[in-house]
Amino acid sequence: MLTLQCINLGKAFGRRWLFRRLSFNVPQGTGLVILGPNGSGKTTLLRLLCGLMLPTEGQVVWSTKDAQLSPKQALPLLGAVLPDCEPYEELTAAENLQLLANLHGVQRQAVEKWLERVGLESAKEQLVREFSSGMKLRLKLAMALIHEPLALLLDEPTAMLDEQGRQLVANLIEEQKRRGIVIIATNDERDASYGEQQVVLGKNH
Amino acid sequence: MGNSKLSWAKTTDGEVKPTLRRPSVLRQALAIAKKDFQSEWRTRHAIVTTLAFALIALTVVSLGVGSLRDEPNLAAGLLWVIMFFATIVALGRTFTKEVDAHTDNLLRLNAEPAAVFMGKMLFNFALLGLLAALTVPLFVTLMGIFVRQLGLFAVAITVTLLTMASLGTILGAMLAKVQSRVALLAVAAFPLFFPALAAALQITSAIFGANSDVSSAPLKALLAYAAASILGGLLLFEEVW
Repeated sequence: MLTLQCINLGKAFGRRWLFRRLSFNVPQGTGLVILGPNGSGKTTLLRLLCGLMLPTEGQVVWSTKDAQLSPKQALPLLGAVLPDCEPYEELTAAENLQLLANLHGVQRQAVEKWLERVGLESAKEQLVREFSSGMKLRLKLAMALIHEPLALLLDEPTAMLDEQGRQLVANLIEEQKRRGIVIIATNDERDASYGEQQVVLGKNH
Repeated sequence: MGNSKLSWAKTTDGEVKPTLRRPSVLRQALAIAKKDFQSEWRTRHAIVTTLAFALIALTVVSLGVGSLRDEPNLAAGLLWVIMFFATIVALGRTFTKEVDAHTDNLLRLNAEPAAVFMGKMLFNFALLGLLAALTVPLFVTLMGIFVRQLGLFAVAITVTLLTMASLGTILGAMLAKVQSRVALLAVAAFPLFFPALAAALQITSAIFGANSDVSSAPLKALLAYAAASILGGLLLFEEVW
């Protein structure tokens, strides 16, 4: 079981506050959608949740049954699809997934399983630099999910996908909710239906 | 915050379950080093630029000064000047390529900082080892130098390169997001590399010279500095990563 708690969270760049006094809880089995226009801090909030950035004020706490964890401590339990978290272009899709499998101690079969799951089994030996944007996003989803994390953080998960890809994302999100938590940052209103909870950024702070 | 090593999610037969425990630092480091080798094998960027620099420098030096059989100090100095700058060229891209390709956060999210340090250091050490394996025999041949204590010479070069790989990995991470990073790397690396280079120079001069008695003091200093640089790297890397 995993829950997320944000307490009076705030992030400023210089004197400009992106957001302030942001508090919310995300219980196990829930989807949270972070909405807001470009530049409102959606991606920054995801970075705070996984410890890639530190908040200017407030706290992020990931809680398991037995422990409270900082974002950095919780990293083995998280998977993330972020815009500045790209696969290696000079490696193949299978090699990228194998790297992640090795880093998480996941068995080799998981590579094949996730390639098939995201529809990249026929492109597994292809270099990522030859991939389209949609194929790259499918690979990023597989890389984030290969260790079956308890929390999945997604930034604009359907932005470059066709209808078939959108359905894949919808299925993966439903599966993730059964396993734990999913947090989606988007400015596409259609993605709002993925979550039971919403946080709207971009109000005046 | 609670205990991050708490193993509350267990792996059942054949099924992968999330756990707070990742594989050992060494296993993660080997995975990162393997990735760097695969990547380098495809692009050959670091190998080509480093070897091109070393070979051009070597050719120019050999044409300019000819045989250095009777000048062991000068020969040792030239060898380590070439190795120092070739190392800077090689190590300059260690982390900048990750930052430029937006893959650095992939490592931050999925690997322990100590594993990233060790993996990158292993790759850098292998790259410098290849550089030395091709450059040093050529240097010795072109300069007409007779190497008396081949074993000691190999140990001195290996330990010096290991030290430079370790310190260069830390510096590479610190400077990865800075502009003019290769120039800065050279400036920042020199004082850090100096104790290792000074000891290596002393050993190399003695080996290249007529006097075959090499004091053990510089080798001990070199080994101690190598150990300190690796240990320091493991402990400090998280702060700069």
